[in-house]
Amino acid sequence: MKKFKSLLPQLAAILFLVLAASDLAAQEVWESSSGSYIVSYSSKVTPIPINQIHQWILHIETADGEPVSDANLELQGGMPLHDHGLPTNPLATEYLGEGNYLIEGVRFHMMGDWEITLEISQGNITDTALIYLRI
Amino acid sequence: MITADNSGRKKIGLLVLFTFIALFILFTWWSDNRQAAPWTAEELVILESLWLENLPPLSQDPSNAVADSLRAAQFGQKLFFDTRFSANGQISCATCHQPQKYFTDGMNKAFAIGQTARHTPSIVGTAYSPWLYWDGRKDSQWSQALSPMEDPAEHGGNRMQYARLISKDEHYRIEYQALFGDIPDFSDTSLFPVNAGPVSNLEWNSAWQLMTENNQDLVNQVFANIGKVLAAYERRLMPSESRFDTYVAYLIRDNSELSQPLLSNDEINGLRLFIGEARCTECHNGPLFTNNEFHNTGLLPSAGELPDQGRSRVVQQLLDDPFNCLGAFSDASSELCTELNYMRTERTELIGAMRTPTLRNISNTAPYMHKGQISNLNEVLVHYNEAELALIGHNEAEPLGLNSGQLQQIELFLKTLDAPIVDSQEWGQPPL
Repeated sequence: MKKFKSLLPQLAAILFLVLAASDLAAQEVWESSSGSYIVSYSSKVTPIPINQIHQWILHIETADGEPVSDANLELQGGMPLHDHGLPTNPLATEYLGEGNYLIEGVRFHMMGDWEITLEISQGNITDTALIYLRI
Repeated sequence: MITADNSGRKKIGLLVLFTFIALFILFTWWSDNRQAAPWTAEELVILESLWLENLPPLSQDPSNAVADSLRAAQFGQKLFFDTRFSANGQISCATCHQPQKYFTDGMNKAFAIGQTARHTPSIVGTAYSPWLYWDGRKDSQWSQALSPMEDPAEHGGNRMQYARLISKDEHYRIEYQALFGDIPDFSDTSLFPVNAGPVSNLEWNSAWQLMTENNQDLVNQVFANIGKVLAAYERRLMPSESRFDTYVAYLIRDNSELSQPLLSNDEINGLRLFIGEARCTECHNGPLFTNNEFHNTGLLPSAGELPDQGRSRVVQQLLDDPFNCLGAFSDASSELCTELNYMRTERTELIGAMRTPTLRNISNTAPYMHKGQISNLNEVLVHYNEAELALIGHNEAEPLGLNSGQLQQIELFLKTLDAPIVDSQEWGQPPL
């Protein structure tokens, strides 16, 4: 028992690392279906709230890690389990530079699993990325 | 012929049957009344999300510059209860939004000057909603407040009549000028007819069409400001802490033993079903128990009526509304009208969809649904438990497979959400 107690700090450290790693895993990146783009997102309000309209920043880069500038973005989404879409019509309203795009009008009205479909067009390349998130 | 042997067997059979029945009843009673299990960490997160304490501060309404003015709220309260704002001098907002019924009227469909098309929803907490009305055809409380005043089945009057009333009533004129500056002089009836407005009454409508656009706008501005002071009043109608909130407060503050007597085991079991198996929090979520969004839940129309198209029918109407957030009478710059700017316009999913109402004080606001089709909470729960196919569109709800005892427990839980409005002495009655 004593031995176990002396191990507690180490166990706590391991637990902390596991939790920190799972937090990092939340900062996921999403590859577009044909592999042309790598997408990640961040919400301006965290944790992502329900029933509150807010903004996102979408970051898009090529598979080689080059920021994708001035792409045309179309967003759709919904809850596949509930067979319904987003309650709003979010739009990419501004290119912020370095592959970052301002997305306005994001709102979620239910807790659960959501899916965002992002259509990215730049020049002749159009590709679709699927983002999964749990609210 | 009945032998003694046969009759003995029959008796034993009956005994076994009765024992089974007794055991079943005992088991049901036991399972319903045993000490409710402690909450899991996941359940506690959901309970906390429903706690009134977590209601965020009300954000500003950029379209209404007087929304948070106390003077405007007090002025609006006077107008809310003033029956002169009607065609027959007998109807006020409070005719249908009765404070003692949590700002509803207890009727299936509202009846004012005539029969209206839908059930009166409560006003309490609607300042948090981006959309007003069952179908959300208005994007602010002030814009919503204007429509009933000209609806022939509701107040039945016209905006010219109301603007003139504000300018002629000495007290109202002083209040108006303090908030909005000078009120135009409407005394010349050749320029400003006695009755005029873009309404269904042909005489009033043609009088309105004959007015100059400039004069129409002078009237429209006063009319919009009437809506804005009414909204300033309605904005203060908020729910207060209910027994459920006190229970959650004790749980969250780790005083579980204090929380124990606050809810009965049946209520706790009902709450557990509410946030779990019954899937109520998919739509009735957040501290107001509503996501203020639009859902088709397969409700039948009232007898003799066609199904209501709901949200799908009003999308264009919202965009065209001169009193919306983007219109000339709004105080907001266009980029602040986020909900309208990013409103969903694809309509298929919105067919037959109606706005989720709050569940706070739900037991005081029968009957239920947009036509008042369902008379009591038990029937509402049966409706969701069965989740039959929708007549139009797609019923988002799915059958739950709960038994009648479980439905009763959910109903008992819903009654723990009863509480008066905040500052009810001040705001929950006509002004002194």
